[in-house]
Amino acid sequence: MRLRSLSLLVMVVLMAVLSVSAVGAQDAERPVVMYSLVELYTIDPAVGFDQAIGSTLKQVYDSLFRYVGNPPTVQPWLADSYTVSDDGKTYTVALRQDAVFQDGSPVNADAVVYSAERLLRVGQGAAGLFTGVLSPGGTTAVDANTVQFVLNQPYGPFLDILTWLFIVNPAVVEANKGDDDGVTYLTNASAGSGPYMISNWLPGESYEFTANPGYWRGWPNENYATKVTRVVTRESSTRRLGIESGEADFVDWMSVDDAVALDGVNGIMGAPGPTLTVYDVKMNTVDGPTADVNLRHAIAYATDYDAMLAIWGGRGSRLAGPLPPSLSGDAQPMYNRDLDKAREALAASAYPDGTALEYVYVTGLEDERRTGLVLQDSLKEIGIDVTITAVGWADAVATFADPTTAPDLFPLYSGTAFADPDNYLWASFHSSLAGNWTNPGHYGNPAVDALLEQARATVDAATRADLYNQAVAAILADSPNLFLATTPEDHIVGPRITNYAAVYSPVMGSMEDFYFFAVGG
Amino acid sequence: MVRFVLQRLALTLVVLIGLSMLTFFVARIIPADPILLAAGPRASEAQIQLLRERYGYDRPLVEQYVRYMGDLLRGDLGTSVVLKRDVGPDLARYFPATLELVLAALLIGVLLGVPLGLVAAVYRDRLPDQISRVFSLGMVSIPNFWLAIVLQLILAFTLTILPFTGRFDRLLHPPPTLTGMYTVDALLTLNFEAFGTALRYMIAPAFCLSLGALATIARTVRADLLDVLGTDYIRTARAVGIPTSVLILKYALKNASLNTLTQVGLFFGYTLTGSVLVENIFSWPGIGNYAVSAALTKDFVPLMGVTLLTGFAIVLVNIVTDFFYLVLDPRIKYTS
Repeated sequence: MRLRSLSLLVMVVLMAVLSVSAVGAQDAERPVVMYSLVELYTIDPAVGFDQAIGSTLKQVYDSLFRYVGNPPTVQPWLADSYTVSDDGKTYTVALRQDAVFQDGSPVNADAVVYSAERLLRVGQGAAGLFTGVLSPGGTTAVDANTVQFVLNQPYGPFLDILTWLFIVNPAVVEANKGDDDGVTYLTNASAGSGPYMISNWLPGESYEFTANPGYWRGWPNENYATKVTRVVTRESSTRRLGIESGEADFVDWMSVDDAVALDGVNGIMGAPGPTLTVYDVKMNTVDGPTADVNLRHAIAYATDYDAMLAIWGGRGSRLAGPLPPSLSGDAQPMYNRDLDKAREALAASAYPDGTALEYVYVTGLEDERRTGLVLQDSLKEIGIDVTITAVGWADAVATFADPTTAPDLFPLYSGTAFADPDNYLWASFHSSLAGNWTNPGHYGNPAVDALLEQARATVDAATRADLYNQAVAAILADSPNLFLATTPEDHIVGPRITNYAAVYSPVMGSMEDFYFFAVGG
Repeated sequence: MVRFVLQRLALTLVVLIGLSMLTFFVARIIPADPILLAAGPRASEAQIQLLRERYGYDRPLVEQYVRYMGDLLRGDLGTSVVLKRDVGPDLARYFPATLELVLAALLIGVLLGVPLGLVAAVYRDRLPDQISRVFSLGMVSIPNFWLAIVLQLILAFTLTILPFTGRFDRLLHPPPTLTGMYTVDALLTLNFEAFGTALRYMIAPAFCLSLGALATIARTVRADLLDVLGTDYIRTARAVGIPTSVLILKYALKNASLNTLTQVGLFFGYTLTGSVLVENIFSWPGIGNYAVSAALTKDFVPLMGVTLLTGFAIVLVNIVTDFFYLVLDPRIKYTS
């Protein structure tokens, strides 16, 4: 009897302790600290548009659709369902009825119309994605919870770009409109319905967001981050020490060397992936020796691709063409190192005895410097001398507009704001963007232009895929770029974020999707 | 005296106007377009034009300059194209942070450098002098950014006795803004706990920045003190039996301090403009980081603001230094 009473008492005490600790776990603060190279200059969804701002916008605002997972898929978020008209020009989206802004007012069709019109009116940031696709007046409210987009022409990846249309609370923006459509106000204030609220904003120093426990969609796991602080940390050695010491849970813009060194140390995960980042060297297709297609073929055959991959410590993979592996269509013949073919192509060019080229890269980017060295070494074999020059990014971009000042060879990393071939191919190879930083070599081919335009205006997935296959084949034949590698992720994750690999999504603005994070320890 | 100050202030105006013209026009000769960079890769021609008009970059260069100076006189320092916010409030936040660091560095430089130089002079060519020489040489040879990383590694990472980065504990509220310098504000509001916190964050970066001043001041004090100690009046004072400590601290040091004062004035400008690397490593939200970010993105307006403000500060410190000459050496007279 006494034994039974004693065991009963022990059980009661144990249960009490467990329940108290369970309550403690639920109420516990689970802050996440990120050391980030970059500053958030604004979180106005009509102005800001980069990786860090995109990631932050997703915490403060909601969009109709959202990218989830890897490979990324478009999931309805504020949207409940949607239909597309037969001509591919009208998208009708039914909204979820339970979504509310942070002030408690409902997210309705009027708010979507207001947000779309404001984005086009302000005309910065993600507005560029909608240029030529959606015009002012093209968005209308069918009823309180249904919105209709009438496009200028059919646009295949329309749902993809809708992930960048963040819905603002019209009442809040109107109340703080000022003379600039609320741009000044929304620089550091939220008018959204997202899972986090801004709790402290020190420009250039740190930005703090506190979870909204009553977020209308709920939380994907009970150990969600209760507070997220982004600390601007410009020095990479400080970011590295931060993650090593546990001061930071998450760091960005780290080199592969750091990722390799830290991977597995104290539960740190370096370079998750695979990514959607492609790395290539753009050749000037209009001016100078590289305007000669045979010389470009010679360079493509002479390049030592294995040595290039070694730059990323075995964490990059060879790029078969202009698209990352998860978006590539049919396998195409790719350029491999073959010095005989390289000499043959060189002999057919206007420079049979070789020539001199300038490789320009961005100051401070070690991967790009090493790329130049490999290129210098590779091309020496066929009599091409490469000089390597480092310049600041802004200075490099200034030389692109005119083909006569654009460099012969220029390396470029390209991520993507939406996971569709259109984003890569249009930006890099459509002649309308020649001279832009995405196409510094001024590449243009009317046949490629036509294929890209046709693919963009096609909604049927199979037809689009076929058109992109044709476009890629034509691009490879012209060899405007050296397609080198899909490179590893530059984020390094500490052990307190327990599910990063599972929730990682490689689209720009999704790599720091704190909403999905589970925090332990 | 009043006339001297007024004259110097008038000259300051001329210097600042010259500086503004130089910075304005040289920055714009560079063939980079901040509007294109700010607009992003997908902006249409119409969107770019809209931005150009909004920031006045579509106007002739001279008109832009006149407009900028007009705004400046009204206290408006313009708006950054890249950061899309006004420059004035940014400078008001970042400048005191750097100024605090620079003043702390100079204070460390003087507090350690003067005794070091003094000991070296008194023990000329003996062991303390040799140690002081090696120490000074070492300090002046060590790049401050390298020492910053090493200090961070040892004090914050390994020993965890100092914080890693930043200016203040992120979980606490900094003292209310009076001067923008946290340690000064904490003292003014008698908040000694905040003073202690701010000091802990400041000590490592300030020490790194003080190296050059420390070493140079130590060597200058030594050399000048040796000169003074060899003069007749000191020999006489020694002969009449004035104790060495009084002799050095009261009579010799004051006469040996003119060059040190010049060094402090020079190092103020040098440290103010050269703090960026240390600021970077300690994520100190100062004006150095702000200026470098602006330079890299060709963001002219913040650059103008930083240049004019630091230019003004340096000129002001020069005037103050000149003024102190008068105090230290009554023989000096400024005539017009």
